[in-house]
Amino acid sequence: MTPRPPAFELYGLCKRFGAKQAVDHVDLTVPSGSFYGLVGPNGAGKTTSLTMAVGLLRPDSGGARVFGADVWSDPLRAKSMIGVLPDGMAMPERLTGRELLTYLAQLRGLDRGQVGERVDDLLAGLGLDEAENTLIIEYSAGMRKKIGLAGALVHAPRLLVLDEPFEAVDPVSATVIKGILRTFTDGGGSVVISSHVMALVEQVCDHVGVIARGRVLASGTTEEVRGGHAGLEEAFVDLVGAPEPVKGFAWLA
Amino acid sequence: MVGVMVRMKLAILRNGSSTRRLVGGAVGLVLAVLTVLVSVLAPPESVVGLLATVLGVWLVCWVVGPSSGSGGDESLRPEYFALEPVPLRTLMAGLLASSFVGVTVPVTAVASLSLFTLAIRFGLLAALVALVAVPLTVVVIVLCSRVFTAMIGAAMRTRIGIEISAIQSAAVLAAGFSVFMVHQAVSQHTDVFAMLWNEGVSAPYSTVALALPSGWGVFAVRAAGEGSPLSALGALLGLLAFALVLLAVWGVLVRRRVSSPTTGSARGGRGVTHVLQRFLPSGPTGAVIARELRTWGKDPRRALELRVALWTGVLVCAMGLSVGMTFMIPLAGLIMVALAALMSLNVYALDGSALWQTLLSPGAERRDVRGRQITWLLVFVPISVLVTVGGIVFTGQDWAWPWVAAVLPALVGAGAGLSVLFAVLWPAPGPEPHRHGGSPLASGDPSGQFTVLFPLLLVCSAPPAALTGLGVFSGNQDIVWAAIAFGVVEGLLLGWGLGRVAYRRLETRGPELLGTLRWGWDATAGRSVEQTGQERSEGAVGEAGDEEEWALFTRLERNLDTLSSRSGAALAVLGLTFWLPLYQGTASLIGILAGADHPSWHLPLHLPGPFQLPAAVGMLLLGAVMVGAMLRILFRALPERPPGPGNDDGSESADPEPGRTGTAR
Ligand SMILES: Nc1ncnc2c1ncn2[C@@H]1O[C@H](COP(=O)(O)OP(=O)(O)OP(=O)(O)O)[C@@H](O)[C@H]1O
Ligand SMILES: [Mg+2]
Repeated sequence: MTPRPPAFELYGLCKRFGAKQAVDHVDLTVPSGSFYGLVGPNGAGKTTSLTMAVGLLRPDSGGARVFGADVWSDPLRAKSMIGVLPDGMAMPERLTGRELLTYLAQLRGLDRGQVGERVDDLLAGLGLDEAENTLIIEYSAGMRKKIGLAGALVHAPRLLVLDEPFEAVDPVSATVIKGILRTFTDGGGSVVISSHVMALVEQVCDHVGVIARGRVLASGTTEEVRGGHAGLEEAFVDLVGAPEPVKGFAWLA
Repeated sequence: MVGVMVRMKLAILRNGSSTRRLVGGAVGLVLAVLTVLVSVLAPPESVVGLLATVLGVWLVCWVVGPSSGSGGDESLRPEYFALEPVPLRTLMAGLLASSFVGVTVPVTAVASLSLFTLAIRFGLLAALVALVAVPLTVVVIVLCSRVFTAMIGAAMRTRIGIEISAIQSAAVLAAGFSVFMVHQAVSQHTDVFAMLWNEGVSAPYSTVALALPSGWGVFAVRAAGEGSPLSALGALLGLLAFALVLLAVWGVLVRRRVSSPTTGSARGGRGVTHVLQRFLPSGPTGAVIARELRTWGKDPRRALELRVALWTGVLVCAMGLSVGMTFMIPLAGLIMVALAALMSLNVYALDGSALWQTLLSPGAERRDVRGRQITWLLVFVPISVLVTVGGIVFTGQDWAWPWVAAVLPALVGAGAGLSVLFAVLWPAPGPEPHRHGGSPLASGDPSGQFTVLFPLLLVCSAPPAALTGLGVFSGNQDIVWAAIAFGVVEGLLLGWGLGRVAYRRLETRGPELLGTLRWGWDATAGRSVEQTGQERSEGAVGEAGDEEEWALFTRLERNLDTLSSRSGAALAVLGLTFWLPLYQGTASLIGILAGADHPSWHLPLHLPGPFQLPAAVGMLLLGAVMVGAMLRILFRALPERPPGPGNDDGSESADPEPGRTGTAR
């Protein structure tokens, strides 16, 4: 059987900011149809790796392939297959939620009927229909995440790359989003998320990659990474190394 | 607390880029020294009026500069300290003290020293008065600027506020243009500079200049020198009282900003843009146009820029009508278009990192650039044409038709092309749109871009204007038609070609632009040169076929792409100055041929007779050489292919880079 190309493949990614090696030879493979969780401490290089892998930041070396299409040498094909939710970037802030989704759908060349149907579905599904006439700049942090997610979904990509999609999202919306993403992977789509919430990653992801200080410490299915530990959290602390326990500050007593 | 805030500002300055500050400081210092020289050298009869006027210009620049540029110095914002348990008084003292750290205030202080040098000419008592007047004047100027900027910031939360601040900026710009044109008109007959220098600013204007807060110090010095110490004291007390009033007003504004720091949105915009949108195609380019139309209507910064351009044109007309100089009216549309180009040269930076959506949609770069160009045309051009055509018809100035018909299309094309090219190549990044705090005006400072783009626009409109002139003055109708055709073709070529350069650039260096918009120039400055060195060799292979077809544009693109910082600096300096010798040479030649007897500031005419002609020709040659040098930098042919690695990952060349970034800071 000819091996199907993996949904997403990061190879040899490196990035240096000044004297700091933020990402140091990151290799990750996201099998087609998997729900992949990327975890790591703050400043580990998750955002930097994902930004480089989707083509928004030029790597010093290495690259990424989406279903075999190289993001940097065959960008048109690669980009047509991915939907991205980056962390902390601006959007056309002076559009309303509906206008933004309509804009993104039209930019991808969808026809009028498709645009209307998908925008309605997304706004209703993510609970944004009440805010559809609010400008993005007035959205709350969680609403920004949700409208960003809707924007990543609107052109029906085959691969979703989501940087901290559950951050600041309320529990009800989080359940909705999990449901949407599960249906997406059940239908053959692939998802990469980065997150700090181990319980959530353990619950939804079937594959996990652990990054710290710009390097991949472990990657594979959730069971493989968990190994002999009771849970993913213990495995993570074991891999990354627990810091000296801080009992509290004397002056704060 | 005050000390802490000053140290914070110092730390921010230390971590920022120093080139800007150096260049700005040098230019400012030269102007300040010139101001002092005026106070020392001007003839006694005229010096008071002159100095008051010059200081008035300083004041106006301080007041208008921040609000029309970038929303002022926002490195320390009041809301940073909203949670500090300090009284408002301390907070304001800290803000004020920290705004004195930097280059602008010391430069202004040097300019205010002119009060002292002026006072020395008036005697001891005047000198003593000046000792008080100098610091007071500096404080008042700085406070005026702070209060005005804060008021604009507060006003920008409402639609009417946007309108009012736009009219204010436009009034200053329109006055500038009108003064320039009136000067051009009058100086055909007399030497305005010499007249001003010797006879001073004429009565009503010098009174106005003395009445401005910046003139009160001058008034006090003169009063002290002329033996009326009471008026001097009165003026000084007036300055002090005014400073206190400004402080109080500023306090109210700061408090309001600290306690309600969210940006209000400029709502509405459902009018014209909404109607226009119905007619837009539903494809990708139509989507970009719809987005842009919305943004022009709703983003307060863009709304302000839009209105400044439009109001300036309208006000130029109004001023022309009111002083009976109707020749200015047909030109109002041209001024509108030029300002429209200036005002929209930073659109990518204003949108900040929203660029990522364009970069991630296949083929969207071209549509984004073209969409922005089309929107620019839709927003600015119809109204400019209307103003100009209406003005010509209304005032019955038929002489203007050929000029406008030839120059307007060229200018429109140049504006549509150059503004978007500047936006892609040379953005002035500011705070991210979703992150700017209490000041909806906060944005990068594009004044460097202004100073380069404006002469470029003049250069672009010069050839059709010259051709028209030739046709009109020789009475040859064919040449007039040729000039119009030339203007139209030039406009089409510039709009289309420069737009093409812009989107090709966006396609190849989009991620770098995104990095610049997110993190500022410092974060990316070190690398692009380094990396493109090898991309040049790749590009040479890949684009060999293209090179034939679009040779010039491709070269321009590639050379801009691989511009080293040294050639970049050379290009900037040449771009800023090349028109000087050309202008001097041409004006002097005309002066020599027409036998003008006012050398004005045309240097060759100050030389003894036999040297004038060679000097004028020399000037022209110098200008030509400078233009040649610029063209060489921009269009130089491909250098020999470096034997370096023809690889695809670039790890080798990235190695020396950390050191490079280090030194670039
Ligand atoms: N533009 C930049 N300039 C300099 N250093 C940067 C830049 N962006 C990121 N870094 C550095 O790179 C490292 C990795 O950052 P990154 O944002 O990728 O971390 P992360 O894993 O996403 O962290 P978090 O979990 O907090 O989001 C950090 O040490 C950060 O300081
Ligand atoms: Mg991150």
